[in-house]
Amino acid sequence: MAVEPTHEAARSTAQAVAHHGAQAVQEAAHGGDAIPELPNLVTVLHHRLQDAPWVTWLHQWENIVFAAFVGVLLALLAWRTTRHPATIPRGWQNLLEVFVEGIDGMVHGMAGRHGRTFTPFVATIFVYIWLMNLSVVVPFLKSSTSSINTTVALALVVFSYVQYTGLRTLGVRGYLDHLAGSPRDLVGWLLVPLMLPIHLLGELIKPMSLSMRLAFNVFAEDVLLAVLVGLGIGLSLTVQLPPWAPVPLQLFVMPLVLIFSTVQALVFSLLSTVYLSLMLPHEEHH
Amino acid sequence: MLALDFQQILSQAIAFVVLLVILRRFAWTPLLRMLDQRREGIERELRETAHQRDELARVQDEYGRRLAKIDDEARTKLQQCILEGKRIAIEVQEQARAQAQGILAKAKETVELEIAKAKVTLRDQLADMTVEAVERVLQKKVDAKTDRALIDAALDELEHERVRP
Repeated sequence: MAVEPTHEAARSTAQAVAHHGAQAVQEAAHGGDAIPELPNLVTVLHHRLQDAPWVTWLHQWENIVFAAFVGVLLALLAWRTTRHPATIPRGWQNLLEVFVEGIDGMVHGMAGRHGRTFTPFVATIFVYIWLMNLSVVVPFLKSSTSSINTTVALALVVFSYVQYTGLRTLGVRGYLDHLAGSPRDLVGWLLVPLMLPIHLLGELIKPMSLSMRLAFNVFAEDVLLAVLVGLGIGLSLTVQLPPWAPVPLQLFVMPLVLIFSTVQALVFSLLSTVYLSLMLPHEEHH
Repeated sequence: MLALDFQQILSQAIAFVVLLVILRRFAWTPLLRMLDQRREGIERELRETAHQRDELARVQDEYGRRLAKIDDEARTKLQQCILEGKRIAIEVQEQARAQAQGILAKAKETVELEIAKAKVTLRDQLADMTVEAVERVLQKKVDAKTDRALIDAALDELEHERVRP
């Protein structure tokens, strides 16, 4: 009996996915260097077409590819939603308005009357990180935020925007005064040699803490999912189930992944807002 | 995972800035503007509603005062009408009484006149009967004119005697 090509291709792909996951988990269990990782579209392609240069390029830039996918998805959603805005919102517009209003309220509450200026930035940061975090639960996608390169890039953008905001709102003199600890008396001026390095160090540590917190949390989630998927495959092989029908052990931690993904995106956005509000004139602080 | 790749970092940063520009242009700014417009519209409509509610209360008070005034005026006019009606009724009663008294007096005059006429007629009939009776007694026909004169004289005499105590 002839097997249809599409069924054959699907079975081959499933076997490749199962093989990749099981191999990664097995290597990790035997003390190998490989870190368990869920297969995605790029890794599957790379497994099947290792010699193709474009696949190698995709594999090298897979974090950018999945981040770009999320970005394009967001841009299309934004364009479609606000193309014909209605006075009485429905559907996606309603959802986006609730989201924007929530972010705007949060930013306004933390940064005062300057909050509206920061709302687009914070909203973009939140929704971009959130969707990238959640990508791991979609089959054949990957969380780009599990890569330190992605989170460092985002943290550097936040750092740059924070410093630009400080220079713009305080002026060069006010910005240097802020870094020096705003000395107003003799004791304050005497403490400048101590406060200036501390503030400079603090400003530099902020993007590091932002990027590492996000990357390691998301990476840990991804590894946990990959391990559970590998265990499910191993369990199915033990009880002699077909490799394309593994036991879905990862479903038990999916709710936790959803919660942690949201919390990590929120923490990154909140801290970015705090850093921005700290660069405002002091009477604006709440 | 921990290896930093500056090309990737730069690419990710540029991608994020591009996404920020796109979302700012197509999503956040229009949505925030629409939210502001809706908020301002709702506030304006609430202010107008409050103003209309105050105006309505003021008009209701004004109508209440006018209704009370109209009620007082109606009550006063009703009292005046009642008094006027009573006065007219008394006048009508007095006119009716006067007319009744006139009719009564006229009726009395008529009755007295009729009585007088009846008396004259009765006396004439009585005189005729007497003459006829006397003729039959005397079997003799006397002059009528003379008889009548004699009888009238006799009747007057009798009448005088009857009237006298």
